[in-house]
Amino acid sequence: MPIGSIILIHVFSFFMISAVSKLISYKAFLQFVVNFHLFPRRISLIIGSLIPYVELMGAALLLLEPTRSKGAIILLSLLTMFSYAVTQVLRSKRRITCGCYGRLIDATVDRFTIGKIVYFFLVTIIIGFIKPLQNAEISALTIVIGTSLSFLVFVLQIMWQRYRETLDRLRKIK
Amino acid sequence: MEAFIFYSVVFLWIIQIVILFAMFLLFRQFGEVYLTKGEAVAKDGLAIGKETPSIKVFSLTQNKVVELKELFHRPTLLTFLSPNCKPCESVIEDWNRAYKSYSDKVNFCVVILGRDEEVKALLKKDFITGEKLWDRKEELFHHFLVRVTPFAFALDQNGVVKDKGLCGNKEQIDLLVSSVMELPIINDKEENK
Repeated sequence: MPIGSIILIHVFSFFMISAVSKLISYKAFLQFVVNFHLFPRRISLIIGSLIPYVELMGAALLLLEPTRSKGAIILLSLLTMFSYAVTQVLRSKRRITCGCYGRLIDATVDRFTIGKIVYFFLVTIIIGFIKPLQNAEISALTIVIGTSLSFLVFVLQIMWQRYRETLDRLRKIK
Repeated sequence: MEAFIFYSVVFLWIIQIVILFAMFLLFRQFGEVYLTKGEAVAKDGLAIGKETPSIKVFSLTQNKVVELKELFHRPTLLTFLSPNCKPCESVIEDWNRAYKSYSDKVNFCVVILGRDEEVKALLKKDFITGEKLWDRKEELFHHFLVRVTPFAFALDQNGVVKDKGLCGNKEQIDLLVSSVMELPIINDKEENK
C-alpha cells in the first residue's frame, strides 16, 4: 500500500537524518545530553553515545518487512525515553537545546518537541503494527514524498525556532 | 498517472498545513508587536478625563456587592488582573510593595477577572493587598474598555480617569500613582464647611 510506504520512508528518513546529524556533531550532541541533567555525567555520556546508533538501527530495521515491528519497538522505546527527558526539563522550567538534530538545527526543548514526539510515536505505531500498512512497496514516488514529508518536519522545526527567537527578541526590546 | 495526481494532491494538502502553521506563527508575532507594545495598549481603556461608569461589583475584601464609585473616596489605582496571565502574576509583588509605600495616600483596588475556582486559586497562591474586586462576568472589563491585563487606571477622588496604561512592573505602577498623588485630596468635612 503506497500510503504505508510513504509513512515508512518518512519515519526512516527522519530518524536517519537526525541520527546522521547527531553523529556529525557527536561531541556537541553528547554535551546536549549531559545538559538535560537527568543522570550523572558519566551515565548521560554513555546513553548519549548510544542514541544515534540506536536510531540508525531502529530506522534500518524498519525498512525490512520481517524486522519492521522490531525496528518500531526500538524507535518507540527511544521516543518514550525522549518524552520522559523532555517533560522533566519542561517541569524544571529550564531552557536547553534538545540536540534532536545535533548542530544542524538549534532546537530548544519546548512544546513543539513534545508535539513532534507524539507525532512520531503515532506514525511509528501505524507503520510498525497496523497490518495493511506493513506491506509497504517502496517506489520512487514514495521515496520522494516520504523524504519530502521529513523535510517538511525540519522546515516546521526551523520555523518554530525562528518564531521563538523573534518573540524573545521582541520581549527583550520592550 | 492517477496515482501520481492523487499523491500530489495529498502532498499539497500537507504543504498547505505547513503554510497555515507559518501564518499562525506570523500572526502571533504581529500580535506580540502590536498588542503588548506599551504605546499601542496605552490607547486602550476609558479615555483620560472620562468618569468611571456607575456599576456594582462584588468585593472579595468586604464579601458583598458594592457600588464601584463608593470606593473612590480618594485617588485610586484600579488594576485589572487575570488569574492565568503570567505578567499579572509577576506584578503582584511590585503591587504589594507599591501598596506599602503609597496606601496612606492612594486607594489600591484590584479587579480580578475569571471563574470562581481560578480567582480562588490565584488568591490562595498570591497574597494581594488592597481592595479586591471580582469581575465575574467581565462587566467592568468591558465598561472600562480594557483589552489586555495587567492594565491600570489612575482615578481621582471623583472617579475621573487621570492616567491609564499597562501595569506590568514597579515603574509603571509608580508612574500611574504619581499622576494622582499630586491631586489635592478633598476632605469631606472641610468641603461641608
